[in-house]
Amino acid sequence: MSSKQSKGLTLTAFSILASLFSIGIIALLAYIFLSRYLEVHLFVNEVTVERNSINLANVLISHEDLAYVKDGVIQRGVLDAEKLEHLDPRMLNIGYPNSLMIVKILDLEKCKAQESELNCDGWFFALNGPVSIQGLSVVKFADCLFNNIDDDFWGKSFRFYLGHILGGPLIGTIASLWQPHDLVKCVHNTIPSGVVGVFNTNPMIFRGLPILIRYDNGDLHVGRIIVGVVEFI
Amino acid sequence: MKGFGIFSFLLIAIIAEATIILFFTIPVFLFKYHLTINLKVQYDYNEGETAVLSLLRLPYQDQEAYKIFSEWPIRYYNDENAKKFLKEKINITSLSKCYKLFNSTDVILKSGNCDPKEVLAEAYIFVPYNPKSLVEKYVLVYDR
Repeated sequence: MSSKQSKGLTLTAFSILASLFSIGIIALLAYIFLSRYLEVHLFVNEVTVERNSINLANVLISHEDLAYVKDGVIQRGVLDAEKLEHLDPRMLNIGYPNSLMIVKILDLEKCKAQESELNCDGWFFALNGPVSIQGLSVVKFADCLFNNIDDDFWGKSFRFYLGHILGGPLIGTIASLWQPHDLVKCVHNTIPSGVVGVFNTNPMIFRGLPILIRYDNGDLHVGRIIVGVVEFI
Repeated sequence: MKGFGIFSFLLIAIIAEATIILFFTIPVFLFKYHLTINLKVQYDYNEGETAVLSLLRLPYQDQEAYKIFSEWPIRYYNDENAKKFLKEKINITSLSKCYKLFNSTDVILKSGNCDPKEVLAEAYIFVPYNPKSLVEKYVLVYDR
């Protein structure tokens, strides 16, 4: 092979490498932008929703329409069973914008063990905030969820999945508020295209916050308040 | 020399691509870690605080459980019923099987052979019969 031929081959190889490198860099930047940027964007929204659910739980345990009032002083963290029984969630006037909030209050001292599950008595209600997204009906979405989720979940008695219940203390994790198959159907049927729902799905948050429930006869039971938030953006 | 040129180019290309990946990946990882840890701290603080608040308000012998802590060194130190009550209520309040309750001088309750670290909740209790200080800090630590 002559030196002229070698030089031509070297230059060609160099050009090919340079072109591949340029294509690689462009592809890498596009991949990073599409994957990482969207991932971070979604993650930030999820964390905001998780934080909103903690904040809302704190507001609710101090709300005069839910909490026990003794001598004119609101007892933070002590919910009044009588008030819960007759609660009209619309009167609370609490809610994040474009969001649906589901509140579950469980009495951990009124549970019945059934096979591997524990059913605890409690209360459930939904709150929705002001809506500014055109075509979005949080009420429709909530109705869809209500109609599709089984009665045990929404009824007076709630499933409370625990790891070690029989013959031992109440230790474990609380079931997720959201049922994936129902969510997909309800989002598809009731939420306009282009609107994204961000749910709090953190198992840690689904443990809720410890509370006390005060009954009419003065009994105080240990319970948990669990707040699920879905925000539409 | 030509071979050296290509080798140098490849080296620069590898360094450039690695730099771009690290430049995007490390900040994203750190940012996510930062957000996750902040959320965990916020939740742990709220859960611990409400757990202790609930524990102190529970009724024990026609009084609030606060009194057990307030009079712990002089009255409840050897009271097995009080200890049993606290054990049951901490179990259900914290939903934990690994916990430790202590103040500056005593370990009041400790479960099993574990060393809880996850959730830390503090309560400052009025201790009228304590000659050293009128306020004692009680700490409840538990793991989920």
